[in-house]
Amino acid sequence: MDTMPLLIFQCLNGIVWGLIFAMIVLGLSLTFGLMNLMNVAHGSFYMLGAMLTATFASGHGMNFALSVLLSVAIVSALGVVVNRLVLDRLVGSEPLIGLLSTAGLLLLIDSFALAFFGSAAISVEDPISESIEIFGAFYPVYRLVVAGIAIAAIAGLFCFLRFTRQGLWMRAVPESRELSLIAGVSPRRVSQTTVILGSFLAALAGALITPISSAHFQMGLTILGTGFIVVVVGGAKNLMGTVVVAIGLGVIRGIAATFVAPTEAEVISLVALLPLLVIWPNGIFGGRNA
Amino acid sequence: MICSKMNPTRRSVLKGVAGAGLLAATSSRVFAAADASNPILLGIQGDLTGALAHDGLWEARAAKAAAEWHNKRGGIAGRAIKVVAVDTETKTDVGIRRLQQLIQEDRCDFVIGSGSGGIGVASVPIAKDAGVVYMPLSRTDSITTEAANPLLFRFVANSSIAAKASQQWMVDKIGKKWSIVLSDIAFGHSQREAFTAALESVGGHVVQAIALPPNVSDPLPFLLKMDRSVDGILTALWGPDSVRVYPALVTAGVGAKSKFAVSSTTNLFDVLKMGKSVEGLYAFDEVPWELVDYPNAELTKTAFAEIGIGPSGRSLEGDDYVMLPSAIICWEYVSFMKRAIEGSGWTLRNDGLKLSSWVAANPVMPTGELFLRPDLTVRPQDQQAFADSYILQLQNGRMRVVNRIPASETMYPAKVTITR
Amino acid sequence: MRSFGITRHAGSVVGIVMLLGLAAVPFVCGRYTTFITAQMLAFLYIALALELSHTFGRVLSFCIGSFFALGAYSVYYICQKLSSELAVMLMGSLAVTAIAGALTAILVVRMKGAHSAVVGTLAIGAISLLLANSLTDYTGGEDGLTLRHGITLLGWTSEIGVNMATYYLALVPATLYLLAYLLLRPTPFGVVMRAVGENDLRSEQLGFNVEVRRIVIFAVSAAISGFGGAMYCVLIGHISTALFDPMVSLNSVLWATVGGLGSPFGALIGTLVIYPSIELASGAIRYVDALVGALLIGTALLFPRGVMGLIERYAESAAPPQDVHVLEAVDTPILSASTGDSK
Repeated sequence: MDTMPLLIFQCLNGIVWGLIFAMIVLGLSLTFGLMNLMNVAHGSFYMLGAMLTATFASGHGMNFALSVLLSVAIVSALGVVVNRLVLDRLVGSEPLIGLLSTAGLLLLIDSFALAFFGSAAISVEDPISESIEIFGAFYPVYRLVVAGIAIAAIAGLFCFLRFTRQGLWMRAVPESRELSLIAGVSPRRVSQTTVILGSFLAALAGALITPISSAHFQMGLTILGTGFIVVVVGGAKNLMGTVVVAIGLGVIRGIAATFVAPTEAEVISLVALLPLLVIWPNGIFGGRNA
Repeated sequence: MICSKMNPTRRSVLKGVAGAGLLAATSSRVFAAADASNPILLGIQGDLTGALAHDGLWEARAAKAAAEWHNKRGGIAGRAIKVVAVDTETKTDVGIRRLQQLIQEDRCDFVIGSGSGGIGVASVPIAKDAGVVYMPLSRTDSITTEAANPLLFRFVANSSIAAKASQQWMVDKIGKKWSIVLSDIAFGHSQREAFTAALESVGGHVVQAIALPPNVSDPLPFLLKMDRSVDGILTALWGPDSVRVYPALVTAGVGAKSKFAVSSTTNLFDVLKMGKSVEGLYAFDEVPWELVDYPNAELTKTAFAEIGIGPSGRSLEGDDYVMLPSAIICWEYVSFMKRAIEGSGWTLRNDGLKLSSWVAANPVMPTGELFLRPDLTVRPQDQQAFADSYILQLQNGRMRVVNRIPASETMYPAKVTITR
Repeated sequence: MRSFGITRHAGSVVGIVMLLGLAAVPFVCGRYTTFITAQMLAFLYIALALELSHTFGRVLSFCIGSFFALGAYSVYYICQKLSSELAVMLMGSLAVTAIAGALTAILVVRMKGAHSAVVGTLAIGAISLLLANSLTDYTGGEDGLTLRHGITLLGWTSEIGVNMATYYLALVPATLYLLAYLLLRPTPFGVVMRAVGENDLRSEQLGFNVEVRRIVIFAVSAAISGFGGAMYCVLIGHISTALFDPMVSLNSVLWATVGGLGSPFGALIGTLVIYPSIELASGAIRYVDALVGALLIGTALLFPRGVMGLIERYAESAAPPQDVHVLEAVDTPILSASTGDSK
């Protein structure tokens, strides 16, 4: 492919992937910001969304959209259970205790996935196989659909936070837990809503990317590291910051991939983040207080 | 299918005749009970959980099935085979511990090794130092080059074999100009080196290598840089990467190009369920998938049935894909133990070199119920086995043989000579 | 004068008993147990290094495992290319990892945000794994490199692998480190180090050069982890890029936290609790990771101060009421000096 169309493709693909990645890590940002919890098990929700969708769609021949909906519903319900049993008890704990227990959750969930789904990767056929021409580059339509869904989901989340009472509570509790309690807000309900939203988004992202990336029981681990980096670089409690950094990372990786080998492009995208952590200690959009 | 059309009476008679004939040829004791009080201990360094879990479970299953089958027929030199299986969790440090457990705690004298390259490379010197016979399932070249020793017998094909076997066919049938897509790990690089050298030796050329970071979520941006003038695309990918790459090649607009998968990579995922993105895919493999493609299907059936594999190379129960070459080679490893122990008079761990000397004098393993691959020969210099190999093609949802390469044409020059 | 009752140091006492037990292993246990204990001792250094970096350097380092791997590869190449004298191999490895640690620290200590240093080290760990896997010609990739060599230790010949010499070579430095910690803790040096770890702003105001101290601590912790890697290479004789995986660092975080952060004895106890549990469980259950997961969750929810905290709580409740201690704040194992709230 010529350089210019390739570059256009890469930028577009970077934005699309950035939106998908933002959907995955917004949940991480929410639990990090609201519950001060480094939830490493978050990647497992993403993985389960993908594994369930792939099993329903490829294993049982179910319609893809239905597979996605069913998977997301199951994982969101699992999020409620996990919150009740583990996460809710960690609010207010030391961050490392949160890390310890969510790491335990990750191992438990991934072991369950191995036992139930097996170790083989499962592919899912593209629901839409056409491509569309954009400035000389042919881009798969399915990815544009996923990007559209991601935008809608992210916008929906922001509207929820901005315009609903639950959303108001979710923004209030991190500011002052005591005042929120006095105002009659239930922090436990708020935590539950946070976890449900986070698991919903992660599962949706996992489900939607199965035609592109397939489903594998260890896939949650591969996004974890970059996920935390994006959340912190964006500003731990700043959701818009998380989205912007996710998209920026995707674009940098894409542009780098146009000119250098794939591994070098991955390394460049990670190296690019390091000085940002020095210049903006609380994240690019983190403000003065952590 | 032959198997399903036969009635049970005829099937068991044939089995009995073949079995009796074989036993008569190899042992004077026919159907005497194996002595379980003094068993021969066979350890399986299995990858039962972790990334290779799917393959590891089939390998362990095959080895256990073989041991049980032999035990019903008098065992080895009258002694029962006792199988001890441990789990490496597909982690190198764990795999090393488990091997030590098999050697020191369980006192195994024979070990079928892990399929993981890292575990295999780490394990070979440990087994050698302990005087334990090690039969690896990992396909890393260095195991039967730098690390070759008299107690190591390798029946799986390494990248050098695969490349040498495939080179001429690739250039004659597909073309001279190749691009390779590989996982950016040692496995991928060793395949790239072997195939690049092999193709160049017959007038071919690998013009481009696209090395993907393992587990990359989206290979498409990297595949767009594919040189579209190539005749064929060679793939050296581990399982989860394969599942992403083949559909991405279609999206990238090069799906119509001939694709050739290096040794055994098509056994690492359910390729038959991947639809049109893999239709027409060629693959090097150590064994045919379909029973009918075996030269001795009647005898091959024994192993298939005992392990639980159906006539199209998939599981009898549940339609699962099988890591077929490794499963069959596990069966052959146990058969090899039978022949070599009885032939050499091996009785205990210290007799390890007797096996090596016997193999040097008797390198050919006869095809039949025990050894499924034709012309299986263990080369004395490095104790690497060679057999007829195959190029398969996915045609209408089935993997069929399109070319058979005689064992002699797969033999690369030995890089070491073992001293006994 | 300060008084230090045995109950305040119950955790350390338990740790010392464990060290004595470890010293006895080659004499009372079989070869297999000695082997897996030796492998555990190598990994122990990562947990010790992590604890040092976290408690005194205020960095939860997710690239501590990368220094372990770097130490292992340093020994490999020194042995193959330069000298098979163990002292040279180990000193060389220490030097390489200390320098790498110092260079990394210069970047990391400038990440002053609450979580930025943590993810900074995570990024560095991920980068090291990507590069290591790509540079297969030097690292051997995931297949790795095998070291089988005769070695000498100050005149005595030995060999790569687990034997009496290499076992104690793995155990003794860790023991000395732990004893040094006990001895230095009440000294002015120990007090200053803890102060820097707990409150760098205040320490800076008091005139201590916090940034330099943190760089030195990070470099020392990298060297400790590197020593563990060096010993791993000597004991096991095989290294691969799997050692660069950030999961190795995560494991050390978990072991140290289970044990109880704030004291290297916590790292020791955590390692000795988890490692043998996994080994014993692996013979009985298929999905060992599930058991480890349950263990971690149980520890986090039931014993948030780790095993050390549990021991000390038990000891305090068993102690007579007049056991009152001065300067508690200095000696209490600190969990909250974690990801660094600058006050």
